[in-house]
Amino acid sequence: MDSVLLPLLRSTDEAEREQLLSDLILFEAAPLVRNTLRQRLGFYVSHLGANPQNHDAEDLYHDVMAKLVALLNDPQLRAGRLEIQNFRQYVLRVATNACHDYLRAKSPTRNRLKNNLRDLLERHTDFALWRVGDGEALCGFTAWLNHSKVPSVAKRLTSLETKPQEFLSAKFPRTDVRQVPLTRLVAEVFKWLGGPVEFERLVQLAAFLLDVRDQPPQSLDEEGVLAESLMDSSLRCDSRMELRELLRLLWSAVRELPPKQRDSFTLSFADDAGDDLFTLLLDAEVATLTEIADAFDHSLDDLILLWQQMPMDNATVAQELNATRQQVNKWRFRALRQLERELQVNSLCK
Amino acid sequence: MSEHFSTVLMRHFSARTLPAPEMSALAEHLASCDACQNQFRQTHRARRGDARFSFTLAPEAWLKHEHLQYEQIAPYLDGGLDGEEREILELHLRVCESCQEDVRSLREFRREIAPEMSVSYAPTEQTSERKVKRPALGWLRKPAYAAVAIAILVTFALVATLSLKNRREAEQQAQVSQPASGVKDAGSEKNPSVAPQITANDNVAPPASVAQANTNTENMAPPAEVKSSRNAPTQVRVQPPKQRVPRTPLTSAATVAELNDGGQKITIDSAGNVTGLDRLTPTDVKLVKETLLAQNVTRLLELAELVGEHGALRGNPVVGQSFKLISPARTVTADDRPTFKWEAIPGATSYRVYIGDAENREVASSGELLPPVTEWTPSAPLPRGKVYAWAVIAKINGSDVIVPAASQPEVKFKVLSEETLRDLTALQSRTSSHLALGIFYVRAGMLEDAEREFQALNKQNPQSPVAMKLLRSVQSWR
Repeated sequence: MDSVLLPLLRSTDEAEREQLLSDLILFEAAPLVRNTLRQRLGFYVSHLGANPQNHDAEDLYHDVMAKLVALLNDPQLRAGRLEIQNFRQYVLRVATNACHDYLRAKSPTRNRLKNNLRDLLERHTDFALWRVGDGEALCGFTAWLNHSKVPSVAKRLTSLETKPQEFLSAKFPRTDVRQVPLTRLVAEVFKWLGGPVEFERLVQLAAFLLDVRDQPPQSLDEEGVLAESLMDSSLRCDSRMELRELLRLLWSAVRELPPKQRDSFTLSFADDAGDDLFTLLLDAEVATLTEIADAFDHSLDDLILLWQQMPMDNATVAQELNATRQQVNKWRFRALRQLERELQVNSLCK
Repeated sequence: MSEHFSTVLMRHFSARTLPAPEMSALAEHLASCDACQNQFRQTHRARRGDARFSFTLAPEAWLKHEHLQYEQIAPYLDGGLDGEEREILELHLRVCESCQEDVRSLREFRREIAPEMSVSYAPTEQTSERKVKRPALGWLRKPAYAAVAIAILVTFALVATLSLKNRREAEQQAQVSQPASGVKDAGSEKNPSVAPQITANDNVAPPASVAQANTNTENMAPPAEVKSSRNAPTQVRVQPPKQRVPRTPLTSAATVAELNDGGQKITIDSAGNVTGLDRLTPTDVKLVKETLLAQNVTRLLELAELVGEHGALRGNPVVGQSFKLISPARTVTADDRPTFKWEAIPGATSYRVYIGDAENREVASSGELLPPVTEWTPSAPLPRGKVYAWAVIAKINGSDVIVPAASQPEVKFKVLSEETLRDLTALQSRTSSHLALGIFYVRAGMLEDAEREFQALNKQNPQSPVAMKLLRSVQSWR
């Protein structure tokens, strides 16, 4: 059994047990889970387990944590009938499996069908895609543009979804509908329905009629190829001295960046172990939080609030900077180019 | 705060799980307390374990999880992204197989579906086949149509009764030897032999009762039995006994757009009826109609082929000075001898322009051009219907500065094909409509010309959202 689990497993006092469980989850498991989600999926959750910009990330994080809590509370574990040699490895495996499951449910093939349908509706002059009052996207023939939903269409749609054979045999007798151009299929569906339909329902229906199914997702281990290729461009330090010097140079270069570029870079920075820039600067004694707050022209309270969410994903940075994700990408891209130029002369780390 | 952090407090501070005000107070203490700083390091390193410090500044690593949405893929394929956006997107594509597949999939779909894009799938009649299959009197279940039917039947019964009564009176009168002179039967002015009938014929107005009943029929599907044209409002007509009056639709279609355009007024109603484009061919009218109904103009597939990629005409990576190629860039030009324009660069002693074809073969070059010249027109026409890339080499202090550089995309353009040029000439001879010409230019990929036409249209219609939308669409692709 991993020694990190022994105090919990041996404890007989309920209050102490709860405290030990909480510490294990908070200080041992949570950082590993957060880093796994960030590296595998680009999902960021704060130290408080939140990401208002990405509910999938929040859900996934809490699912993994719930599984770990259930494991640590399992009587089999306490009784020694379940053996965990390496708790960190175990946490990493649970988090990685959760990422696999998430990707499996994402359905990229269906997403591509959705792209194709949207493209068709936007570009073919006979079709249109529009939004109604509540923001819902509707589609149909151009002649129906800006019309609202009609209850009778919903009925026909339900009937089509439950009994597609009537539609298929009437419109595509002796033809495999998967061989029919999407244009024609869409036109026949619209004619059959006789009125506008929600875009999402059309995607769902088309996926059903065309029997669109996803292949098993690509193994996450294949990402190792990318990781390997990117290793060459990583800046690595083996000694504390090197680390401190590199961080000093980085901090100096970051402060010289235009504010938007500086913020886009800093708020989402994470080293390969998942640590944010402020934590690393504190650890290396390059800057204190009050100095960082001064440099960013923030109050300490505001800076702490940012620090609690770091590293942030793109959507959260965009919200913080009151910008679009594309703008953030551009600012960060410029910042990275500038920092690369500034730091590539440094030969302390490689 | 003067007391040092406890171990538990430091673990929470390091994990950032305390409330912000408490964190702030601790941070202030930490800034001035060596012992607590040391404790912070120990706590952090214990949590971090033996993980070596490393990070990357490679943008593709930072963009690894910035997966592409349709809103980025479509303009990427259309050539609608600026240079930096495209570079960022392509960096992500380098490291994301899933998004590579998304782009490949949409590109392939567009290629496959290209022949279908010119096929019309719009219903020729508003009534779908499914509606026609409804039971013959099914529409009567709708209250408004039932009211119409009842009104018609009542009218029919009244007229028939009157007719019968008149006939009987006439017969009775004929039996009287001396009818009263000067006395006329009011009913005799009506034509009793003409019975009212339901027809889908035009040129007649409904009686008041029908028209009134029909005021409630807006937004309802037309009855299957009543003939209607595509998008046109349903017209139920009652043949009056005598006089035929001008046609009046029962449900008037609302005007969707009205535009002043080169001395004409173009209008389109919700039923798709267009006025003010009398001299255009039916195909051109259809395009205008669809554009106005959709309030959007269809982009051209060909623009994707004008997106710059790696090419033989690209120079070294940007180092030091650079300049910009102004035009033609990512557009289709009607002129087969377009004028090439670029920005001046300080210190240049000469420029040379090179034009290459899709196979990277040089098709024309300018020879040495001396500043302040920053434009050049080839002496021979470029073959039509082909895509070209061009580059300029500036000589500065004996060194060559080549634009576009290796880190920049190629600057491409296309010369309009003979066939499309003929269509354009024909259209120009028929109309001076900015709208019709603008739509043509968009479809031909001539974005500069399209923008000019839509700007003119917008100027004549400063309050029109349609005119503004069309202009913005084109501007967003340039």
